[in-house]
Amino acid sequence: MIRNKLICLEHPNPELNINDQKTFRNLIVWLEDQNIRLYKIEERAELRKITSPEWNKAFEKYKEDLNCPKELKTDIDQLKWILSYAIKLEYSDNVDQYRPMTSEKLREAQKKLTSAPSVKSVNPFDNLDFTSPQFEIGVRALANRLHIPYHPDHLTILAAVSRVVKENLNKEALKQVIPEGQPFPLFEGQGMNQNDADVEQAARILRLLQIQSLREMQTIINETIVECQDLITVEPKTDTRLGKVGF
Amino acid sequence: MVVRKYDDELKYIEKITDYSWRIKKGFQPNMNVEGVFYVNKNLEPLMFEELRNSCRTDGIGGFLPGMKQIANVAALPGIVGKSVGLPDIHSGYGFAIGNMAAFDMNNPDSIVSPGGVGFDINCGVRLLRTNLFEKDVRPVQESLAQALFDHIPVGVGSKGIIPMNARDLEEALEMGMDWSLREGYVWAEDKEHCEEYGRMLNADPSKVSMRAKKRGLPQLGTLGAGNHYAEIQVVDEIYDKWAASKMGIEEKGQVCVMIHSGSRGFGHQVATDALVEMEKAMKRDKIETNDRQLACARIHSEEGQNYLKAMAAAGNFAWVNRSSMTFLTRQAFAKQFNTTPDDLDMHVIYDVSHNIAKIENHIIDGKEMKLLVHRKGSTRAFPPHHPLIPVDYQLTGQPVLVGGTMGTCSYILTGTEKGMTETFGSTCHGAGRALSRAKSRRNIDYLDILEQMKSKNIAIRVASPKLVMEESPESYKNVTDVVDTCHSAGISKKCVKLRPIAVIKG
Repeated sequence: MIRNKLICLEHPNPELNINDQKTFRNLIVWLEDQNIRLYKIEERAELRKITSPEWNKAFEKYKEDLNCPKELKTDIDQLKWILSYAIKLEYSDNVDQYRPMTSEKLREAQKKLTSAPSVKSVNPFDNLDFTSPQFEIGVRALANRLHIPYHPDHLTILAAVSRVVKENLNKEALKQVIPEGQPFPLFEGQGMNQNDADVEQAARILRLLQIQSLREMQTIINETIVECQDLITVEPKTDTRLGKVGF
Repeated sequence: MVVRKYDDELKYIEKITDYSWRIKKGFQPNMNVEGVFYVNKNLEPLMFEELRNSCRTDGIGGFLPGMKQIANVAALPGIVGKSVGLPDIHSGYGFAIGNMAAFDMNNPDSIVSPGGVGFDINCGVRLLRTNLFEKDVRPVQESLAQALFDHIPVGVGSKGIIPMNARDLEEALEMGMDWSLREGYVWAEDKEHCEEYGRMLNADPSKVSMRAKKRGLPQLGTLGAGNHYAEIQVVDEIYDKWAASKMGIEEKGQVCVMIHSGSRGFGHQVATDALVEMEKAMKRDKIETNDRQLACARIHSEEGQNYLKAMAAAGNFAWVNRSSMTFLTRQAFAKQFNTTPDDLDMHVIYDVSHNIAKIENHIIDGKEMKLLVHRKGSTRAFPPHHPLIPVDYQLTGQPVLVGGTMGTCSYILTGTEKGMTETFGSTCHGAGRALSRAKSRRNIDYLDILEQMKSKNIAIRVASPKLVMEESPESYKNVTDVVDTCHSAGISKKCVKLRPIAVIKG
């Protein structure tokens, strides 16, 4: 029950062990800070000294000020009452919001919650309007700085920006020295059979990009094979006694 | 066989270019397509001499000449395009060695023929590079040759030093090079530089007879006999610097290791078993051929499928075999130079299969067709951009490894567009016999050959000197003529020439 009430009050850790004195005292302080707010902040000082031997005295006074019924003797019972009191306060603060809530509606709301968890996004990009003129201006400015040529669709440019940043500006890439010497012999070997020289060049560049991504994939395949080899491979065996040279 | 006078026979043969000849329909009965063969002016007389000899004896006795065999293949059901003879062509069982032919997979009459694959299924060549140079290897030439000889058992009846039991063999037959990878014998990068990635996926060990498995088990990791060899070679000439650099070959003098081997007794047994089965299928399905040796079965018949699955298993056997020898070669080099194979940069440049049938897509008369391509003594040579070649060779075309004969040079070629359209992306595979084995034994003394090797400063280790005579350079066509013909005809392009400094042979 305590757990459910703590969930209602959105306590960060509703599973806590209230038999632990320290936790118990912390919880009382938390309730006063978050929900009850009976005292002004400076008046909460005594209650906050949870390690102090005087704490129990402060707690006694607090219960009195809250009008906690004297019949409740144990800490647990008193806590239950304080929790209920806190919930009552929370409810009366937002009556309009809670009143129309029926179990049926709640179930529906929960269903929605489980089928499509409305995770509150912490990623600022999710709330960006990718079509806004402002955003487009930003992308084009970025592309200019990275020397990426113009394309009518700024989202295509964004993809290019992402690729340049990912491949050329990551930590590893920045560490690497830019190789000097001969550029790749783009016009060596068999061509792409295009009549227009510009189209031919573009086709050859696209071909290299395609080969690069194929190479990356093949390398990943090889790395996977090596990992598997490390996992299961026994040492390759030979036994020279088995060998026999023919005639 | 039709017997005509030599002059009459010549009426069916027509020169197309300086390097190619057409065999017209009618040269042999029932030809569905024409034949074509590639020779330059040095190889041409050999080809025509064969035909003249067979006319003289009225076709009785002796081998069928290569031209006749090409024409007989052209008469097989379902063949498309043409029956192609490569420059190294010589008489073989059914199909000539150096003959390729493609059959339409969508034609229910199309056939598969074990004779079109050969007895040594997935016989092929693998080339390893090193970062060593001739000057590093010359001083230790003899001991390195000995180390290789000690690691790789050779000869008829040799047995391998990689321990295997029956279950290992079943797995290896199914997995091909993936088995070698799993057991840690090869590197992950080796796989991508193999045709078919070193594994035929349709392999089914249950279609292989017990007898074949029994023969194959002890032979894994052995070189075998015949024309098989392992050679330490040095780069003698680079014709295409750019393509060579893509293969990691930068300079003259760089040391490579070539391994030429196949599926040993295993493949032989698979082929023999299939021939027996197919003779029955031919009677049942009323398939007629010009030559009894051209036993075949419809691709989609049970016999055809059984053969293709067993052939694939034999193909996998050969890849595991070459992979095991790759491992042993790396061990031998690492020991000799007291370092690791990694530090010696002993990567596989490529691994080709020159006795195999594969399902491939080709453009015939502007239409894409699914074909069963038989290559017997013929190497696949796909052009740049072909999706089935490794990413590293997308710009240069597939490397084609052409092994010479003992003591002569070997070549690396690359595939071309022209080869793709003219010969279904196929080219030569080696030197090709000029003298029969028996004739070689009669005419050549093995001591002369050993002396010859010595004079060329080639270290040699052989298991059986008797067989060395059969493999002497004199018994073969000149590999340079063969390669030059392919280069001039444009069906593949010369890239690198290699010459041997040490030979290990059966």
